[in-house]
Amino acid sequence: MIIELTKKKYQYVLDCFYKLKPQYYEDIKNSLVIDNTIFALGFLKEPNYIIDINLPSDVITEILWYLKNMRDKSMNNNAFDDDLYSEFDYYVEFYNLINSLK
Amino acid sequence: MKSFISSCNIDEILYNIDVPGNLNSYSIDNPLYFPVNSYNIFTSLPLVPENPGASDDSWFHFLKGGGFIATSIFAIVAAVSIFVCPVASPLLIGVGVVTAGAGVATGINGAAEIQEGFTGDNFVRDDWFGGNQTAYNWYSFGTSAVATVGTIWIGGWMSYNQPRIQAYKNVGKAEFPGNYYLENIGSRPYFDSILTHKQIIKYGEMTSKIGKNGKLFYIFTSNGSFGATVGSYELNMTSNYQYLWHLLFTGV
Repeated sequence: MIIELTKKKYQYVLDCFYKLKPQYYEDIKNSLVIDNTIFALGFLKEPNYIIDINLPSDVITEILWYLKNMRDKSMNNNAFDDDLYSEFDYYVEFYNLINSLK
Repeated sequence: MKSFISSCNIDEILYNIDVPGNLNSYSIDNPLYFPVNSYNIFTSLPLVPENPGASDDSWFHFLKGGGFIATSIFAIVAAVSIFVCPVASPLLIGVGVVTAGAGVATGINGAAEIQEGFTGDNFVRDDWFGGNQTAYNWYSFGTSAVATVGTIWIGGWMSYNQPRIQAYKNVGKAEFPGNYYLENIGSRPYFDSILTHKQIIKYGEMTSKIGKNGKLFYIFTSNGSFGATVGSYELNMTSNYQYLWHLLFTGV
C-alpha cells in the first residue's frame, strides 16, 4: 500500500519497523520516493515521503495484537504501568497506520 | 362523707371519679391529682382535656413537618447541584427535575404539617384532598420517598463522579508533561482542542489506576473518530488535575 508521509512521520514509521519488525525495515526504507512536485509549487512546507508498505495479513494482525496487548497489560487490574503505557503511547500512531492497512 | 361533699362543688367530685365511676380515694385526698382518663359520669366527656389548646398529636406533626422540610431542602440542593454540573448526563438531569419537583411538594407538605401542629388544620389534606387523610398520607409519604431516593441517587452520582467533575473543570489549565506535547502535536492535532478533551471527560468511561510510584491516575476512554477513522480516545490525567499524562486515539 502506497502511503504519503511527512519526513518526521517517515522516520517514526521506520523506527517502529526497526524495533518491532526489523525484517521489513530494509524493504520499506528502499521503497522511499521523495516527491518534490507539490512542495516546489509552494503548497507544502516539505516534500512528500512516499513509501510502499506490503505486509501479509497475519503480520498486520500480529502487530496489532502485540500493541493492543501492550496497552491492556499496562492497565492490568488496578495497577497502572506507566512505562508500558508510555511505550504503547509511542507506538499508537504506528498502530493506527498498520490498522489502516487491514 | 357529708362534710366532704359540703366542702366541694359537684365538679370537683366528678373530677375525682375514675371510669367506670368508682370513687378514687387517692384523688380525693390530693387536690392536684386529675387523672387524664377521668370522665363525667353523666356526659362521658373527658374531665381534663388531654392537650388543651392544640390537637392531641401536635408534636408528631411538628416533627413530621420538620422532617419533610429538611428532606425538601436536601432534595432541592441536590437537584440544583445537578443542574449546574457540567458533566451531568441527560438521565441525571431528568432525575434532578423529578427530585426538585418532589422536593418542592414535600416542602409544601412540611408547611401543612406544621400548620396542623398549630391549628389542627392541614391545607394540603383539607383543600387539595378534600379532607381524605388516607390519600394525603399516600401523597405526602410518596413525594417524600421520591425526594429521598432522588437525593441519594444524585449524592451517590456526584460522589462517584467527583474526579470527572474536577477533571472537566481543570482540563483547560492542565499541561502536558515534558516534551510530550512537542513530540506528538504534529500527528495529534486534538492536543490543542480543549473541547475534545472535555467531551472525552464528559462522555467517556472513567477508571482510576494507581501507578508504580503510588500516584493515582484517572483514565477517561471515549468512542470517537479522528479524520475518517473510527476508534476511541484515551485521556489520562493525574489526580491533582494538573497534567494530561497521556492523550491518544486508537483506531478500531
